[in-house]
Amino acid sequence: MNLGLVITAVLDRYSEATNQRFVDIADVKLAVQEGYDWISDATEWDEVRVPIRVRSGRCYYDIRSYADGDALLYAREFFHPLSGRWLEMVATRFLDLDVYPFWEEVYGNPWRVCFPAYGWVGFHPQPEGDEDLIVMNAVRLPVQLSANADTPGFPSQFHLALVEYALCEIYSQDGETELALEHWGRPPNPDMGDLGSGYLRYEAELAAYVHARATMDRNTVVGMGYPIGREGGVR
Amino acid sequence: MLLSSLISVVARKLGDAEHAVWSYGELLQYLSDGYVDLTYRSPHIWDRFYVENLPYTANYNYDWELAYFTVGPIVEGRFDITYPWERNYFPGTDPAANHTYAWERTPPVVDVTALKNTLTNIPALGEKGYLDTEYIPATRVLPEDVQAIRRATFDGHRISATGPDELEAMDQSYESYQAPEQIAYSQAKDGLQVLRKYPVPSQRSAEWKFLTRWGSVRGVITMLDNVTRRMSIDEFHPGGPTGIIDATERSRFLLIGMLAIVDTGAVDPTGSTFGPLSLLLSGLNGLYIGGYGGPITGATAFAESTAIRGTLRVVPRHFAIGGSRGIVKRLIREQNNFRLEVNRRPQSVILYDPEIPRPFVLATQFYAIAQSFRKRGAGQNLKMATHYRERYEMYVDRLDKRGNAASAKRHLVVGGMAKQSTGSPAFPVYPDNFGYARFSLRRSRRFRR
Repeated sequence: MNLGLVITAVLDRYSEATNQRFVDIADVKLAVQEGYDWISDATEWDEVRVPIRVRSGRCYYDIRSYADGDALLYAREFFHPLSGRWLEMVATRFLDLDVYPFWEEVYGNPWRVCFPAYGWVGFHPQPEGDEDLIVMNAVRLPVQLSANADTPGFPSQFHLALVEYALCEIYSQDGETELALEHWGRPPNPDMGDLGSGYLRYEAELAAYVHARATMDRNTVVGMGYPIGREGGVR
Repeated sequence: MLLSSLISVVARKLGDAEHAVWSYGELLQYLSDGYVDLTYRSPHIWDRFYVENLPYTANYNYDWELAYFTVGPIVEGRFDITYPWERNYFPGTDPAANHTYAWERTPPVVDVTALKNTLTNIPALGEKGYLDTEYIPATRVLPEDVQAIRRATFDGHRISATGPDELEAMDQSYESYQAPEQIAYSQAKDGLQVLRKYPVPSQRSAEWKFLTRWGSVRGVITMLDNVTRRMSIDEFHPGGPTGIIDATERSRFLLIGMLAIVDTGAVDPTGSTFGPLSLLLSGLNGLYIGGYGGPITGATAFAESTAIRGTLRVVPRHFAIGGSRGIVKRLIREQNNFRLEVNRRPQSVILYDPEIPRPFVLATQFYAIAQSFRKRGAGQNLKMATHYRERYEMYVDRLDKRGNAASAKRHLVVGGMAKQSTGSPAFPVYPDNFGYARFSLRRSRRFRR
């Protein structure tokens, strides 16, 4: 389902419900784009692997500069290819108090990383050369959908989430509070046998899909597996 | 995203694109409030600055005088006493000041032309200026937008955050004891935003000397302690590291900007570069500032300049000045200096473009929409106000979780490198059968009952 089809689906359902079509297509497009951002932020599906070119004499790096501008959500892991090791994540305070007070001035192959603040990392030791590289596994917001042929990056069974989100926004603009909240929906509640509804159902399903990959194979439960929303996962 | 487009989006989402119900100013205020609220509750704007160990320069006594600093004089600082001992007789928190202009504390300026021709005229760093007596204050008022200090360093290493009681217990004369090296700081008793260094600095920090008043820093490769330190513009550059193309390691090439590259090994490559390069001297202890710039000199630092296009944003160990926007106005040395890493409030969304990254924009919009729907009168919709407020709160929770996830995660290493203990602590009380033979539980008090 590409952007054009999502917009069409929104318009169809909107007119189906209200028997009129006064909505501005620009508003629908904006709502779909916003929904794409929101669900991507909530489910953290867009994983990227970004090389950071480290430079001699620089301890701190703004990792937002490397992951497509300011779309970075957070960094998960760091790998130093030259030494072939995953960097250990430590607190800055640990480096200050337990490692070496002047750790910002130590040179060598990096094997620790600290997070002084949102979007910033510090490597310890600092690499000696300017040709060194550290690979970052990060989660970011995807590139926005702009052309009608652009397709969301997550699997197609969850694309209806964008339709539901956009309908919620459009009805909210119209002052149709009940309809808006209906399309926003509720998350699944497996304990009560409730699959959920509206946008929140798709968001929960996509989150479960993202965070519970390969768990089916690791389960030892006899049977067909869990119903939707009960994958458990490793969130 | 520009503020005007943010307001326009919020207005459309409210179904009030013509601002018939909610005015432009109203939405601007709501967005601004959401922006401040988000950054206060989930602090993410990190900044670094120096509370320098330098004589306090001040040139006005009362805040109302600020209105008269229009053109010409530079606002330095506020003062009401000229000797430190007067503090006991005057109320207030401003340090003592005995000079009114910054140049009075710096050594005499060296002639740029002479510097170009010889290496011998370079004054030593840290030497005194025109002041016979230097009062380096222990207290300093922090900028109003500082929310919390995350880390304080002196001479490059962390120092302790202490309370005044601890300082008193450690040293009864902590307000007057002087020493060249600071080991702690406190933030109490002296005023809400006042930071106190301990001990009182007795030695000024190392300082670059500016030989010019015009232009901006363009580029530099310095060699300190035989290690090349590069500076680049990409740290705060939202578009990624495309603004810089470096050549090989320590090759003396540095590009700041987009097009040109300068070989600093050349004697005078002025004519071969793009942009308003005015002066470049190879092998000179100088760092050049802008097209009209002159060098900053240092006796211990070997600095070379490559002034090309673009402007310098971040300097290793000298950090950006003025936040993520603007240019480096001044280079401050780490040596013998006091650095603060803080969370600060964002700059006013009314005066500047929002500093928040793309993922935060939506949450700010939700805050504004919730506030708009909450307002009494036409357009009030409490259900939708609650709905959008919940979405805003969801986002704040998500930010907190991400921040904690980064610090909580530990990479598994064979050999016991894990730092966190997940087990419960040892049982703090002896069991009631303590002292009895292992298998004679019947003799314990519980079994005797």
